[in-house]
Amino acid sequence: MKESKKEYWKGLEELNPTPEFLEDAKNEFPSTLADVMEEEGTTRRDFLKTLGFGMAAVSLAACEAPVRKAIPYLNKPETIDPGVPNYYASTYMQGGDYASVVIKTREGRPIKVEGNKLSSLSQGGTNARVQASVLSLYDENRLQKAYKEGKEAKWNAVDKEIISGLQGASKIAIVSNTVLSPTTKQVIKDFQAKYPGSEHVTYDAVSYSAMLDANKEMYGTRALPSHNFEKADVIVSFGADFLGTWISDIEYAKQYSKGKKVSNKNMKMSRHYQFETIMSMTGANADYRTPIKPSEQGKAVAALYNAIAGKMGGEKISGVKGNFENLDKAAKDLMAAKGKSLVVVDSSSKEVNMIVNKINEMLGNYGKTINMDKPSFQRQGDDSAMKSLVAGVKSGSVDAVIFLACNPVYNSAQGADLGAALNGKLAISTSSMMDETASVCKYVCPETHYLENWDDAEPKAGMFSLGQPTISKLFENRQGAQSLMTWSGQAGEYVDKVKENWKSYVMPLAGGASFEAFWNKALHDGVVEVNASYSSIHGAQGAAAPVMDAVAEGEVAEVEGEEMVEEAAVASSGFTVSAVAAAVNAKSADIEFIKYQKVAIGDGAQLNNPWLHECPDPVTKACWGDYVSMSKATAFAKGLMQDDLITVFEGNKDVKLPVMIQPGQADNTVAIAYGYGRKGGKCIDTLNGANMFTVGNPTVALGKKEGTYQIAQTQTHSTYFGRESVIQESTLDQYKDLEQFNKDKFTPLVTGPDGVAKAPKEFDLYDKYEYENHHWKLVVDMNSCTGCSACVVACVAENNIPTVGRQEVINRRDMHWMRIDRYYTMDQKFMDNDKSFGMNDDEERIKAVAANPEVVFQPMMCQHCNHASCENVCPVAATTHSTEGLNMMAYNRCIGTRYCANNCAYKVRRFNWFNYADNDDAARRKGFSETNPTLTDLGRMVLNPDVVVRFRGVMEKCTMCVQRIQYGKLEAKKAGKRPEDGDIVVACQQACPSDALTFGDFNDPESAVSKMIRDEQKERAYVVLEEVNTQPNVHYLTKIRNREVLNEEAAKA
Amino acid sequence: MIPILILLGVLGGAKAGLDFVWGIGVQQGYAPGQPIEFSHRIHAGTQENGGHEIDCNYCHTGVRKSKNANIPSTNICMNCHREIKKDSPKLQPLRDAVASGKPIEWVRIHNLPDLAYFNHSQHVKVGGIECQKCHGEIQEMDVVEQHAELTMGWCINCHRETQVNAEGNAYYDKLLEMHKDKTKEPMTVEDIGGLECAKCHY
Repeated sequence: MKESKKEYWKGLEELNPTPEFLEDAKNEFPSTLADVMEEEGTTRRDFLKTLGFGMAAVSLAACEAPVRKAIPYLNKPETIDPGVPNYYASTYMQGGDYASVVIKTREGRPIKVEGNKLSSLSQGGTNARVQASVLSLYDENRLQKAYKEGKEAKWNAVDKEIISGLQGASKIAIVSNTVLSPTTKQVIKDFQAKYPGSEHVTYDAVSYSAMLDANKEMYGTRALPSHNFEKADVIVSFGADFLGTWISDIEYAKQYSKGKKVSNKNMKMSRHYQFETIMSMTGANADYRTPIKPSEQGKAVAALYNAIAGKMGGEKISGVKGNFENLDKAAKDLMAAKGKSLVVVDSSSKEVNMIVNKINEMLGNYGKTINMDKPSFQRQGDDSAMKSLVAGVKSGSVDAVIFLACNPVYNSAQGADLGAALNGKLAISTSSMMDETASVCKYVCPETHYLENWDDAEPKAGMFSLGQPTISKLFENRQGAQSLMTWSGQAGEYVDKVKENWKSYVMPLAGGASFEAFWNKALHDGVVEVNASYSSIHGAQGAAAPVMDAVAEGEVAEVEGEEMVEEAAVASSGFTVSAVAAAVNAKSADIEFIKYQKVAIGDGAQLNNPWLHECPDPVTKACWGDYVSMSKATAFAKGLMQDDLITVFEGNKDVKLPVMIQPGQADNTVAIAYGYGRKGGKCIDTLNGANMFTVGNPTVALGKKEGTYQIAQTQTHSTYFGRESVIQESTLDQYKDLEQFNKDKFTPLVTGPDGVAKAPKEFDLYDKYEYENHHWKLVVDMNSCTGCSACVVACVAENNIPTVGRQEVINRRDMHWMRIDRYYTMDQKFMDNDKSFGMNDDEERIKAVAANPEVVFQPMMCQHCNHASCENVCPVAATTHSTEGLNMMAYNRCIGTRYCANNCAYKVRRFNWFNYADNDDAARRKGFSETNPTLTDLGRMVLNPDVVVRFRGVMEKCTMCVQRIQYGKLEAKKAGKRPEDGDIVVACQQACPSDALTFGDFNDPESAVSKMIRDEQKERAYVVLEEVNTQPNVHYLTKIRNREVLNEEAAKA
Repeated sequence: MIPILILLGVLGGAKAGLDFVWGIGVQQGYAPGQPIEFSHRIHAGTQENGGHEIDCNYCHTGVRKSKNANIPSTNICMNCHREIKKDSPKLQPLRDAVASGKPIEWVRIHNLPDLAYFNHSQHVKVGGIECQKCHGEIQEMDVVEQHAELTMGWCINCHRETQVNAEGNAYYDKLLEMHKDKTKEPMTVEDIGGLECAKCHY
């Protein structure tokens, strides 16, 4: 591939490396680490060794083995067999985030969340937050009892007081985040009937109010549309991180990756433009990416509108200034893909959202890639309603507030005002943690976890799903909706309400004669999908429908000019260029500020979940904590370096964060993530950070350096300086010429003693391996991987991987078996202009190179080499090769020499420096008890009983989920057949929302892996570091960008 | 002569020492008392032996489908003992368990370390191994004792010697064919990778 001559780097430190950095990069661990020695002292250590051995021998001989008990069930449930997993379909809901899931339980404990393939919305995909949610169930900081004024109280007494309080209240408000459950909505309605005049206020921590209002104004429905990125040949996103955090990221990732799947038989893929401020994960996947300042977003949207309206003869928005790279090209591509394109925006301006709606209308995308007739209810918040509620509480007109599992004191714009105003009011929180809101409420009636209760959801019109408990309640908690029922005198259990609602609402839509059969099937499948439009369901539906306005009669969109859209698929009103013009020109500032959501953290609802903090951010590769990110040029201009601790805002000393230098971020902008700046949890308390929900729109004034705070970044751990044979990428145009593509493919040659250059595998010292039974292989399609890191968390959950905490990540002792390497590479024009680019560049050059780099994501795990360099250096044969192609690791053989890790070409082996699972000696190893959940009995419930918990001093690494392989093989043997392709899926593959990973038996000619490797062998398939001849069983498929060859700049140069 | 004797003594001592160390943790013959004097002979033994020939599967319900054979839950005991010997004082703990809702705490006899994965169904259902192969003549035992060593060497030996129960199981068809092409010897577990680390350790 021609473009593989590009150079890749993981972090800026690789561009201008210090001698220390180069030294550390050579070694597995930095030489500076000596904390173990420092703490324990050499003499003491040696002494203990001798003493320990003697003591062990004596005590072993002296005492008998401990008596272990075997305690069977008293009354064994028919469906539960110890040792056999049970799976239950359920629904993950967190605010408006939604995923239909299947929960794996062992002996009655949920241990793993998988995606539900039957849902056409999440389609079996998950994200990091969904994967980690099972750990939140076992969070010891969850409240375990009802509270009154901060003290534990009896549920009965609390209920009694609340009911009398509510009866005496003049006006009650129920505040919640987006409620997806139609039954909960019904309960709220019945509550309102019992307490007339009470209102239900919905807000979203990260607001989509502007988008909802824009849709309400134009289409009469205050809802979000359905998007279909799969059908879009051209995707233009203005700041919308739709693969990571925007509305329905799992669904979009599924769709997006389908549009990106290429093979030598299908040479078509979508083209993605991204105009954004931060380097988002979605932007990192874009084919063309343009950094813009937040104030420029409206202008860029309007410029695109004008370009398209100009070509279609529509009226232009006046006063739009600014020239945006790639914008004209995007407009041209959009015009060529009418009805097959999609423009999305993440904006807090109603008008900007309206312009984007109009662009999609002009392009005829409505009814095709964007659909208002099958709206999504995944965000329903109304900022203005929330504002008036806070005013009402302040003025006293609202004197009773129920916070239904939400935390507005922390995460709504008027949080501080609300918190102060609640004093003395009848404030009730159903939060499961003592969060900012709960701690100022008079009563806290903690909610159950979603894995403990019944629920239902309607994320989109006609898509229903059920949630069912997978474990009995761990604590004395009660579901929020059940609490509402209790307080409003609604008899019975919430589950009966759900059933009732499904009988009267869902079943008539889905059809079916017997409710019993319908219910059982729905419970088994988890989802019921009805192919009906919003109006047909909710236009006629009464009681149980989500609270929505009826569809208004809109005018037919007027499209003038010569190029008529094929069909006007949508009727809109209320859009005039004059009405939106004012909003386009936002006020700019010297340094602008933007808030965003991190992919793993989201809005911070699961901030007490260590798995999510240990999971490196897809783009920054930072773990454990908050930072302010800015471009290299901005930092350079302000004299700031990475990790410098600074104040960010004028007159605000509280927001003091370390600097993160982020390549690709727009110059003169700073970005801070939502979700941090909280207190009140074991894990939360270890984090630095500031609350961005309540910060408003402050003026940025970057302060002087006030010390440093090292950001725990994994990006240059395990670096191999992006050698040519690690990343291979190309462009679609080059790929289309298959013959040339084959010729250009990077194939390393090695020259032997005879002076003839041959393929590395011609030089072979190893015995020939034969795989008679199975030959397991994994194929990673780098064109599909979006970097989202769902696989990383899934691997943690499946394989009992310890979380090590911030300091140990800094010490480069992160334990993840699977990492996603994120490489930056310079824009092609740097290559064309200056071939000598490389190490030791000065700051000026680095600034230019880091201005807007391209990004590649590469999932990296044990490559299960057929000629494994680790195997033959192990002095005790603890790591050996199997007859199925796996590189095995016997922990109990390992004596911890770490030779294998030193000899691993891929740096994928991990060493247990400490006894993470058991060591809660805070004085000795501060940190593990806060960060590693398995130190308590409660946290240990999440462990997968089929995988050993490793002890200090042993090496570990990806096993290719050998426990799943063995389980799948056994099931096949029991059934007397060969395992079929797809019977055995590895955890990372199962979690992946973009189908980037495929695992299977290479010996089965019909398996997806063998077909893929066979079909792609000549072109895209390659193995990493082929020249070292390790012959891995993990194959990668070349990344293809839908960019024009060597782009125009090169042609001009 | 004396040096040779000393050497032999040292070697002998070393051997004894090693044997001792190897024996640590091996609980062969372990036969602890149980909360109820349960006799496998009476339940599973032959009629000549005073038994009732109840199939092992009746109580150990997981043995063909799970890694665990399962200690029977109290309700399985009560299936019969609701009627049979329902007033026996020896069964008082059983009735107490039902009344109190607290399950009986049996003393676990076979303790494999956590680092070894063992699956009953693989051996019993797929392999067609009799229970007695590992558990001894359990149907003769009034007090159960650990029959086998349950050491890794013991596992490995069996995997070396035991022919795979492959005939008629389509999973093994191709493997068996390939094996027969190579040798006339029976296909043992070892031949198909049954000694590899990651078959039991993960």
